[in-house]
Amino acid sequence: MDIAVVGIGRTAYSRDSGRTTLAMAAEATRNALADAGLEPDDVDGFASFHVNDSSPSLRVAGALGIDDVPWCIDLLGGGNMAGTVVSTAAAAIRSGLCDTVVAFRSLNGRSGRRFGQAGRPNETKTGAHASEAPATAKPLRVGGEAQFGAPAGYLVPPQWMAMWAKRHQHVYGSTCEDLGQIATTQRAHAVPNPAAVAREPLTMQDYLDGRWINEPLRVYDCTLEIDGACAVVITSLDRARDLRQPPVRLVTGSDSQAAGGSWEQWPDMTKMFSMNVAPRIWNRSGLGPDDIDVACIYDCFSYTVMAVMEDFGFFGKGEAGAFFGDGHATYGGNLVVNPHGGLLSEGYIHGLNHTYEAVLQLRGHAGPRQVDGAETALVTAGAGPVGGAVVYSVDH
Amino acid sequence: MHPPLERCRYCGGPTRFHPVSGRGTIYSFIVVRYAVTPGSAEMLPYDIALVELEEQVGLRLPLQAATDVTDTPLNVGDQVVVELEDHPGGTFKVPVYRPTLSGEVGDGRRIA
Repeated sequence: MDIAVVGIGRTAYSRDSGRTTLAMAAEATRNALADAGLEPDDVDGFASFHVNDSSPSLRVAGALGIDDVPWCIDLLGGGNMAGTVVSTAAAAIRSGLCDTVVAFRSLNGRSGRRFGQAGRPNETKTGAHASEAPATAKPLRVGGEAQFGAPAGYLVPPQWMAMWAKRHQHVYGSTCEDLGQIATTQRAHAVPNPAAVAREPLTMQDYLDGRWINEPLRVYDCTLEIDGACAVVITSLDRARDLRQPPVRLVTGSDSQAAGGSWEQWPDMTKMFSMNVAPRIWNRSGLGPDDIDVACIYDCFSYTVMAVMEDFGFFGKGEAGAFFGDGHATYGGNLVVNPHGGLLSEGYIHGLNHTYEAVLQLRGHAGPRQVDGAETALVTAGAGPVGGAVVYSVDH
Repeated sequence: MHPPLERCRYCGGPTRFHPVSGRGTIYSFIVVRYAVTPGSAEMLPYDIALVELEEQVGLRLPLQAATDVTDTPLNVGDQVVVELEDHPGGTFKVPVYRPTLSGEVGDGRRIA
């Protein structure tokens, strides 16, 4: 059975929503259903992923007035689950557990729990500059693998990805300017995107003038933490053809949740989960890097884009700076990478907004940022040892 | 094997703690400019190095420098030795790294 995405919806993206994750999830879901031309009664499956920072999918179903939910699942995880949630919904539909699934992600990633800050108190409301705000004086309580990094103060993704990026710089001679080419290209894409939270043009000099977070990563290398929700509606391709929007076909998806999730013990930090995922994606889809028109590459950090695109074979090791700098990753180039601006500039809806953008592009509804003739899209999800990818295409 | 497991992840056999030499190599490192842990704001900026121990490829520990060598510039590939030091403000000891200086010519040149 072929599967398609038939509806997309979202809330406004902001730095301070003032709303609950339940309210935002319900709004994004209603918007996605309206986009598809469906009613809540047409939905018989709900799926989400979160790290206890959202509303469970059964509550969102309840907020939509659905009191009998045949299939409902909450995946525990971060951006590495942003593709999984769609692939798993597709599997549930294929297996007959349900017919039409809403997959959503809702978070107050700015005004609520901030992944990059460990025990640091939230300074959003005070407007304090991050480096001026005091780190919490309370002892941190950490368990699991994190307890081995905590004594060194090594606890948060902006540190881990800086560590990985530094290794790449050592082995392949990649530079901060290479990362800057990624950040500035994506920002240029966000400028005409009304949904993006960061739309001010960004030059290489602006990038280099950005404050350090953890060398070699600057502030513009790090995802833009925001509040908001995004939802997509998934059903069979046969059903999709009777609905309001041009169907976007799910070609294939694959994950690699590897090495027990260990970041420090991952064998080669110049590669990511995608070293395992890319061969499966290309083999199953019969496609290759030259066939992709739009790539929504999970970009919690600029370095993630570099390593994941190398793994997928879009360019060779250490060639990201030239690839982006010479315009191969933007309009008129080989493909357009993160035409919405990505998590770096549109904002961090934990990667599900990548699927939203891919669908919009393949419908041909992306307005001023439409990629001409877009027929295939690669969406990746996750970073480091954990992640996945999904390929979408127009319905021929 | 690190982090520790009750059973070996390859053979399922029992595991035990095993002494290591403490000698290792800098696999990668960062300069922290943004404090996230208690007491670290006043230390900024400081290095965290990922030290790969000589006993096993891929056996790595994230460590700060010993307090008397925090100003020593780092390079990937540098040789270091891991020591135990009192955690500042804490009641326990933590592992830290110390760059291994070349003693042969007495010029402070580090082994790369």
